[in-house]
Amino acid sequence: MVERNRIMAKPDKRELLLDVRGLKKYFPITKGILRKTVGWVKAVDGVDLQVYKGETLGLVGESGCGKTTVGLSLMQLIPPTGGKILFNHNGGWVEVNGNTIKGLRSEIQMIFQDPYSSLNPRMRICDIIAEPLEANGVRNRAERYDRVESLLKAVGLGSHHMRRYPHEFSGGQRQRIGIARALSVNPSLVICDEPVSALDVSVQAQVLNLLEDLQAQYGLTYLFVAHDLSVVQHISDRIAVMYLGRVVEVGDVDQLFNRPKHPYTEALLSAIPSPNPDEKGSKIILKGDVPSPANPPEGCAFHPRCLYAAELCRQKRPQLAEAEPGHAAACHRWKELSLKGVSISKTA
Amino acid sequence: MVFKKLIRNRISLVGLVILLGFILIAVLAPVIAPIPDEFLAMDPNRDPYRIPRYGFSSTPRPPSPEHPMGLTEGQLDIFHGIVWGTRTAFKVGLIVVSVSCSIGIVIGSISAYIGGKFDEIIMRFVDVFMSFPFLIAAIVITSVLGKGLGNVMIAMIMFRWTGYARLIRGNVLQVKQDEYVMAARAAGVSHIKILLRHILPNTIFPVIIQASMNMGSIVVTASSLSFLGLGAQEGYADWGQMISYARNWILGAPGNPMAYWYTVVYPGLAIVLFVLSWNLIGDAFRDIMDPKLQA
Repeated sequence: MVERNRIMAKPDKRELLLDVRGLKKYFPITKGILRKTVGWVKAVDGVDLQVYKGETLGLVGESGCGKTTVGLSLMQLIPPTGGKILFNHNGGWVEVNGNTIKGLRSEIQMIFQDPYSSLNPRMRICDIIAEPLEANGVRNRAERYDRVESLLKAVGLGSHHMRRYPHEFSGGQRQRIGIARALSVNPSLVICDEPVSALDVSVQAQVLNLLEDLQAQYGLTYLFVAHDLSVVQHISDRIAVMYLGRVVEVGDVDQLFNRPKHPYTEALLSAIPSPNPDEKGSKIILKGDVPSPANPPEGCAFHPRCLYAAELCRQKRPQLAEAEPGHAAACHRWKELSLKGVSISKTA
Repeated sequence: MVFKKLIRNRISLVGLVILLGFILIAVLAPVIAPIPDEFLAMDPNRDPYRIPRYGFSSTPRPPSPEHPMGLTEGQLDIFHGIVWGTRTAFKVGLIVVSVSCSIGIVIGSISAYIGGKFDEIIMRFVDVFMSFPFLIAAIVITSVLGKGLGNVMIAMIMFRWTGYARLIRGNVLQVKQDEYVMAARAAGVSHIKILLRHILPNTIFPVIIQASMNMGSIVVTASSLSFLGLGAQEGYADWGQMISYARNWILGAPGNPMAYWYTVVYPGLAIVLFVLSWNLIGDAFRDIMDPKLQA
């Protein structure tokens, strides 16, 4: 059952850093004064993810598909309902749960979405960045501040910013501070929860480049949650597409962009605005809304909106199946369909 | 910075000046209204809060050079009572507000931070306290515990912390969703530090403002209880008690409604000014702390 969804990233074997199996997070729907649970919102409903050392895995999907919940569950910021999270800690596998996360906080860190609310307005920058250090055993204040100083330089700020408060910085600078905070404890895995979606496009590029530079410099692994495909394409090595709490397709960037195997991915790709005005767009407009995660459709969760839905799709939920090496999709009909991708040339 | 704004605002400046006057009176009470020598001669250890009594006639006597505010029922010196009553007012106000505020902050913030069923239970408990009409509850408590200023304060604290608890709970519920709290949790910061360093500094100001507003109303309530005969001991310097002495004389003498005005005007004025000063300051605080009004 576990082996079922194991997908190799690339033909050449790389070392797994994070292995998520069947991750679930259900939120109860309560009713009445006694708060009786009348149902569950299945925000994350059996997600399998493999993240390899040194790579960037982009996790995309539309609002409400559960991608942020995945990130928060991995950090145990909201305890998952089910599933296993395995982390490769110096060669040994550790199951991440409420008890073990304490020891792993210096290995897994997080960059948050909104740089305006992710920094405490009443704390100085030096204390904000030093906080994870303090919480993870660096008792000496001078030592902490030394580290803060070098971190500030690494993210393109200076030591003269140390004594300032968050409101004195722009959004991009604040996100740099958030990045410095995440990196302060020298993590190996950084979960980036839409780190650039609150920023201006011009600043987005700067922050993305900074993230790439830091990755090269410190050998970081990113799980990059986003809804903007062009951002994800820019920074990711592999991409996982989520729909209604499940991963529907996962693969290398060029595989997924050039040869999507899931109709949902095809629709997402067709919606990327093209910078070329002469290019004739053929957007696939999906009908209807995302179904409620409290009451997901039978069979394939995407079938009510799918252009290619067949009888089987209404009855049986498809599992992720490998379509080509390192590329898997959860679609019954991937073999019959020839889906349209977008041609990208990832020039690094 | 806050202080500068308080001074620049004309209304709060008035409040500040009145309050400063009361503070001066309270601090300098032994100088302004010392225990008269003849009483000190009788009892060297006389409690200065006991108002000197100049005779046994019940009819008040009007102001005179020796007694600038006159003598109230039972020949008690009004001036002495007002001056030392200022100390009583501060004592009651500060103790009740600080203790009930602290209890409210601790219970409210922990309840909200833990949340879930625990929060639900605590809040129902708070509801029980809030469902009693305050004055009646205070009367019941003081009649159970016995008369006296200390017991009045206990009764008030018992039924006042709930307001602060509710206020801070609402703020904490909001702030604990903020990403910087998430970030602190992700960093592995302990719960106590998250509460003290991240949540309370961002939630406590409305409570402080509420507390300064309540300073006045606490003193009014304490006075009401004293007026009803539940508060201070007989002859103890307390504004509420001073008004209670005036109860029989408020309507004046037949044909002369103003005959005994001094028995009620002076203590009444003291209470009104005291409450007013705190409310003005509280109002100004609220405006200053309102982030929407900040440049």
